[in-house]
Amino acid sequence: MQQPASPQLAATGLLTIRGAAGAWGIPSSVVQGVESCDALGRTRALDVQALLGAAPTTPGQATRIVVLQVRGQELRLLVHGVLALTETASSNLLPLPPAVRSATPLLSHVAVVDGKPALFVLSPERLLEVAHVEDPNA
Amino acid sequence: MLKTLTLKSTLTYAVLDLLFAPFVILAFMLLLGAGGNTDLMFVLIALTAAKIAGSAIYLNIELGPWERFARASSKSRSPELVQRADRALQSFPLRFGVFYSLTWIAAYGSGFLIVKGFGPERIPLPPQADNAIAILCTALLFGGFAFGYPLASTLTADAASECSALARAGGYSLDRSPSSLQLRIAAVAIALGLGPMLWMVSLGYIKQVESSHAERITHVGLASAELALAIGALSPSEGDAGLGRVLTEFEKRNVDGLLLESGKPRGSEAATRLFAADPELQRWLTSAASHGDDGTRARIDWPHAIAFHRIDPQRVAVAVLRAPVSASSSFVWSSVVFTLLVGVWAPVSAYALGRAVSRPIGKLTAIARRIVEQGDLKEIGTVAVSTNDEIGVLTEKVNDVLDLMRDVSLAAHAIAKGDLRAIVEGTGELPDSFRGMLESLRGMVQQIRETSVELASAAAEIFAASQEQEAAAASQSSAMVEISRTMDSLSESAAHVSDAVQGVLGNAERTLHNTDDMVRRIGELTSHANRIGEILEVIRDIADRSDLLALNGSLEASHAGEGGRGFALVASEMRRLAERVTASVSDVKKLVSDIRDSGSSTVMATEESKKLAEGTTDAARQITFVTQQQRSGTEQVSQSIKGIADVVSQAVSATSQTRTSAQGLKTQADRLSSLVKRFELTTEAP
Repeated sequence: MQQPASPQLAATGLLTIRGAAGAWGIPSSVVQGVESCDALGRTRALDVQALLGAAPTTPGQATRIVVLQVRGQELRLLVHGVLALTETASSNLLPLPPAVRSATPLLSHVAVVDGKPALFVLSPERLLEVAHVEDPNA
Repeated sequence: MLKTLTLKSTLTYAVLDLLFAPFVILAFMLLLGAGGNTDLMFVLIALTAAKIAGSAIYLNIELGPWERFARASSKSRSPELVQRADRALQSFPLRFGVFYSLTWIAAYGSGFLIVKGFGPERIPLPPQADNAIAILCTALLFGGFAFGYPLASTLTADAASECSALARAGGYSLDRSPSSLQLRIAAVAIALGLGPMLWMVSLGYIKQVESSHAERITHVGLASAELALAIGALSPSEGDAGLGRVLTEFEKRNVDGLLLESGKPRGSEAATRLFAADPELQRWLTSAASHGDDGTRARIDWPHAIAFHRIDPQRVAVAVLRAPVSASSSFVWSSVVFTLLVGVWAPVSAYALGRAVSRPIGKLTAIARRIVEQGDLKEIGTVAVSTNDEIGVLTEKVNDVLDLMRDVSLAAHAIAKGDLRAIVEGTGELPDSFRGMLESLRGMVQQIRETSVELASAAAEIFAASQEQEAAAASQSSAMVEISRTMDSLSESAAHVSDAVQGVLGNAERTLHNTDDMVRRIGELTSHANRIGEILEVIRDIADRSDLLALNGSLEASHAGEGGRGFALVASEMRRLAERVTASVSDVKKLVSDIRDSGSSTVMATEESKKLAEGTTDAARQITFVTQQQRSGTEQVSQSIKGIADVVSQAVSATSQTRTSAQGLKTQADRLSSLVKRFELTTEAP
């Protein structure tokens, strides 16, 4: 099945997460807020680290819940690492090759920082799909 | 088997009495002319039984000490008991011999008195019966002694030997009076000679009296017949003158004549008086003459005998013989002479016989006494042998013993001079034992020789060793003195150590106290650090929340676009502050953690220090205790060392004495060796 073409990002803001499992980002435009992991017990959240194939996240001091608003639906992501807001030019967001995208459907772009690929950008839509797959009621 | 000596003796003498009594009773009754008198026989049997009973009682009294000895157990046989028993046994033969003889006299003397008591009408006794019984009793006296004395000696020989053996085994001597064998033989010989001799004399004497009585009866019968013939031959014219002449003739023959004519006596005056005095005689004559032509009337105890002879129917001639019965003077004199001869001859013969027996025994006794008291075997020589009887054999054997003793004496003399080559001939236990002793002596001398050499060598070694030991002991003595000083010094050091340890103990106890205080303070510090950690956690939470707020603010600012840029800057700055606070809190938490770790380490170290301090305290206490014990022990050791020093000093002295003794021992060994060399052994050249 052919993957749909990655839309051109209008925003250049990224919420970056740098943790032990790597560094990745998510467009800040879909980020509604960040909560502490104290609220983890009350709501469900996708463990991004586990989705990316790394070890599942163990809740701790550096664990946050990032609240996304994708297509009018709220999506909660469990992340671990240092969170930061950064600005990058649209040109620095490079779409992934189709073969890579088919292998890693959660990633949509590679962000270049200072002329070098620095981090992967998650696709909020794909995360929403995964969330629906895992919880049809989500 | 007779159990006691008294019973054995009683039965022996009873048998002897029963053997001899019938003969004596028979002789006694014949002697008294009472052969058919059963009353006298029973009296004599009863007297014999009484004699046996009397002998038994006397034996029981005499042998009483021996019987008490025999009944006593071996342990209770004291020397006094043995002495009393032996004294009784030694005196018994003579005393009982005399007693036994006297019992014979008493029995038959009493019998004679009883017979006399019967009266002459029942048993007429000859006028000389007293003499005959006296001789018979004398014969019984000697005969009884001749049998009683040797038999008593024989009966008591074994018992006396047992006493002697017991006394010799007990190591004491018996109180025995010396007695003469010769005298005893003489006494027995006299008794044996006179006893039968007097016995025969008494029997012969009484036979003489009886013969005299029979002769008197014959004589008076003949005299009456002769008187009847003489009177019958007278013519009537001769009348009374002729009768007087005939009677005068008969009076010369001690015959008083009497003519009984028609019952009227006519004759000599003595005969007439006799008839007048004895009506019984007159009645007998009248009665006998009326029945026969002749008759005799005589009794052994009468001094006369009467006989009658008929001359014619009206006349009877009566003869009265005035002659009492008596033994012939020749018999009496010959008996006296023979009795005197036997009385003299028997002692002489007994003396000769006793001397023949006792002289060689006396010689042998003297030799034995010389051997025992003087021991001069060389001068004794050989005892002459004069007979071939038991004494001669004994003398020969004594000579053999003397030869053997001389050989042994010579050998012993040679041995005494050191010549062990002596040879002892002969067989028997003594020469065998002497040869064995000599052989042992040779072996012993040989061993002494070898031993004396070894002893001298050993003495020399002991001397050398004792010298070395003396030097070593002296060195030890010095060492002991030095050790004693060292121990004194050690004791003082122990006292110093004890004092120092007391100080250590005080310090250790203070350290323990300080350590406890430190642990308590570190605990407080740890508690404060924990409190700081809690506060830091609050600060970190606040900073985290601030960071979250700042992040959300930045997001809001970015959503707001250009209008939110200023806010974004503030939020960004706020996040940096929050991050710095978080970083500082992390640093402070690390510091607090380090403080707590340090506190824990310090507590652990302090616990170790506390344990060390407690260990030090215990060790100090133990050291104090040990030091005190060491001090006490050191003082005891010091005292012991001083004692050892004294002992070693004594050992030095003793070793010195040992050295001196060893020197003396070597001298003695050399002297012994030289002494032993005096002995000449058969294995060496003489």
